[in-house]
Amino acid sequence: MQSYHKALTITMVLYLGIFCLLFAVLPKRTFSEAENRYLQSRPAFSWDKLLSGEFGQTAEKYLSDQFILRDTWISLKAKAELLLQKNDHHGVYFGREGYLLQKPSQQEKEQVGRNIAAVNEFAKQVNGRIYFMLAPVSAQILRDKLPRYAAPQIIEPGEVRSQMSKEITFIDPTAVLESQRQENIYYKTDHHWTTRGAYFAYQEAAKIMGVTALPQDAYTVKQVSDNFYGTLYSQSGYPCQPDTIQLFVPQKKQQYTVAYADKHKISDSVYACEHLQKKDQYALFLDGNHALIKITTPNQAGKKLLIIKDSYANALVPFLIPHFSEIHVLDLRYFHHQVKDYFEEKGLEEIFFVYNTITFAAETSLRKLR
Amino acid sequence: MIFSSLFFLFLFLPLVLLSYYLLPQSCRNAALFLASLIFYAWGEPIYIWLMLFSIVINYLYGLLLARYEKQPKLAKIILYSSLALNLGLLFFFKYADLISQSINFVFGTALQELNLPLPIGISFYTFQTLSYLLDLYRAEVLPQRNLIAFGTYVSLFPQLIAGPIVRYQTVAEQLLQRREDISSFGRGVSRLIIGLAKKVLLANNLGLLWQEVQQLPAAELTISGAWLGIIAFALQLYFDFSGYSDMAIGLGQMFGFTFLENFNYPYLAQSITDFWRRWHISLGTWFREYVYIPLGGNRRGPRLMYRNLLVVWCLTGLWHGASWNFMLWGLYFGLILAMEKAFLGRWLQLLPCLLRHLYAKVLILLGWVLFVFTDLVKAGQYWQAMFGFNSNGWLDQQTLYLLTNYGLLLALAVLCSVPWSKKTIRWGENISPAWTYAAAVAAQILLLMLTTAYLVDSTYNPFLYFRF
Repeated sequence: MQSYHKALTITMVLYLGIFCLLFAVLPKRTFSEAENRYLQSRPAFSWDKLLSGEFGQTAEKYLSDQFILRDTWISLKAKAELLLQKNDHHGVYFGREGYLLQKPSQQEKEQVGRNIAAVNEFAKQVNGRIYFMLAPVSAQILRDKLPRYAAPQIIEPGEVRSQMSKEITFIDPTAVLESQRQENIYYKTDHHWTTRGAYFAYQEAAKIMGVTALPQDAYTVKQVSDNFYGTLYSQSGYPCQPDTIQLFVPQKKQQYTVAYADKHKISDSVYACEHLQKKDQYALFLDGNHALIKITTPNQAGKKLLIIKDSYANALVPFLIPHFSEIHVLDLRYFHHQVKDYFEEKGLEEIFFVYNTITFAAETSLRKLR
Repeated sequence: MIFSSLFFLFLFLPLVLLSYYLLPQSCRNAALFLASLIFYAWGEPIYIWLMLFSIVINYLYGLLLARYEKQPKLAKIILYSSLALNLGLLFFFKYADLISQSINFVFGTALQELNLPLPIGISFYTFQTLSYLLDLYRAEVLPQRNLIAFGTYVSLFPQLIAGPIVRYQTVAEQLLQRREDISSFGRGVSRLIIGLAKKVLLANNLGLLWQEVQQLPAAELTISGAWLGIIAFALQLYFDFSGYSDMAIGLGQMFGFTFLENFNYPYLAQSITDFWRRWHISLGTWFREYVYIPLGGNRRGPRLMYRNLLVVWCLTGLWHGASWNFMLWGLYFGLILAMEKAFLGRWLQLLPCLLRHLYAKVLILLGWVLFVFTDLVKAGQYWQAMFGFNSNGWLDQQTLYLLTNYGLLLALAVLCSVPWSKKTIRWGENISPAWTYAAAVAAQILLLMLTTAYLVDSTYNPFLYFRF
């Protein structure tokens, strides 16, 4: 018994002692790849901060951010959860066949209602055809990949369609995505659809917009990455295989320019390949999220389109280029002007909303439409 | 600061232990006192003055009581003024808003609410200082003339913020003379690890299950879903609180203190009387010693006994929080206890053991509904769901999903709420002590590592661009 207690004492002293020692001597990290953020650096001491409690909070953050083998501990926890047969944590389902799927927290019906009302009201004010695409997320289409009995509470596009006013042409890609579910239309480790998924949504949109979509064989499929660990991987820390990223490159070369208003940058490609060297590889499409992007094409016969969107649209926009003369891509989260004024000033003709079901239910920036 | 944090475990505790054991015996109380003040001030520096004030004033009250112990009238006045001051502070910080809200509600007035943050641990340390003064008045202990030792008793960080409520007489001698040795240190380490595991591995995760059930509107719950939820809450509360007590007792042992036990497998209870002998024992003892018995207990006839029970259980309920549902919760148990004293206890003896267990568990679970919902309407709806009055049937997909996800955790939790591990160790000791101890050490290292992983994970904060 005595030796048992001695062993426990030694264990604890060593455990705590080694951590303290390593914490003191090891170099500190500034950036976490896994969490995609800067880590807390050593807090500066001041009596004011101490007395307000701020120093204490920062010091705690410093210790936990710089905790030795931080990423290893986090993946140990994810594995322990799986061992306990727990199939979701941090808002991510651990699905079948290596799929991670979004598990949104309880969706607020009021917010959905407010967003629909904002879009309806906007439709009354502007002169121009309005299309609204609500894209289902992977948990809605790949239901067979969900853990057993899982029933994520996500709003169905059909529910939203019935509440949209008559001026709005609703585009629901659910059926076409359902029919192509075997085709890797969603990433396994990221919450976005793949280029292929976006292509099928483009087909559906083209049909309703009255333009002829390019057939699949008009593109060359080019794989640009085989080591993409997406947002759902970062969010959950679950063990998983990386995704590949494919691009649909038109065989007939398209001429156009892409202007990023906030960066004063002009490019001749919708793909920003430098992001393939970084963590967030989905930012390859349209260089991530920008307040305003303007794409100009030589197609003078095409109309001028305004896209109001979340990040799902980034993979979809490249397909639309041949059909329009100008495409203005606007992200309400960062755009701080009157949308209606902008639409009229630039002489735009059509509006295309693109949101996925989870963002649309949670987004608060649609009030800016009013 | 809380025990179940990386900062406490991997920085504060090692530094305090190191300085404590490097210092000579004579300075150790001072070191603990200082460490406790830092521990207390960490989250909310402002209330440190309240704590220091409380320590000094009650120290002086103690000296006064000792000085005038031969003059009963004067001693009584001193005691009452000390009670008024301590309870007044507790009342002001904890219950003032409840009173003004209630007055506003009943009379339609518009009294301003204070909205003061509750000083951490005030319910606990107030009861501790009161135990000192009351024991002193009853001449059961000697006055503490050493301010550092008294300050150490009041502010001792292991039990400062969530108990157990250590009566002064329990630690009076240990405050001045205690023997720290490797054997009690090792025992303390073991208790600390078990407490941490209970809190971080069991309670926190059971809490997630309860959260999933709680966030659904009660009108949508099935019968099994409602029971699953409240069972999860019952286990969460037990492992949270008893885990904290384990950590307190363990940390105390690491510094040479011996505190009394606070829990004794409460869910093994076969009656409500039995439950309250096993749940939060230090609080029950406090109310028995300082309220129930002074009021006359059960020695002045049944009528006064029931009155005393009523008073004690209203107070016990209110002690748990400044909201009327807690008082109802206390009354609920007071009523059941009174009935068990009157006749139910005898009837229960006639029942088979299994039915007695069922009786106790169902009543305890119904009680937790009252405890967890401050809104009585919601509590009522939840009870309805438990008995199927909202006609949602027995089982739905949501409940099945929760069962598959949390089933193993629940089974583990149930296993840990009975003395299974103790029995296994005892059984192993008879066969091969060496192997048993080796396995026990290995198991505790594993628990410590898992706890570390869960604690690190709780600070995991990925910056996800799609959120922006």
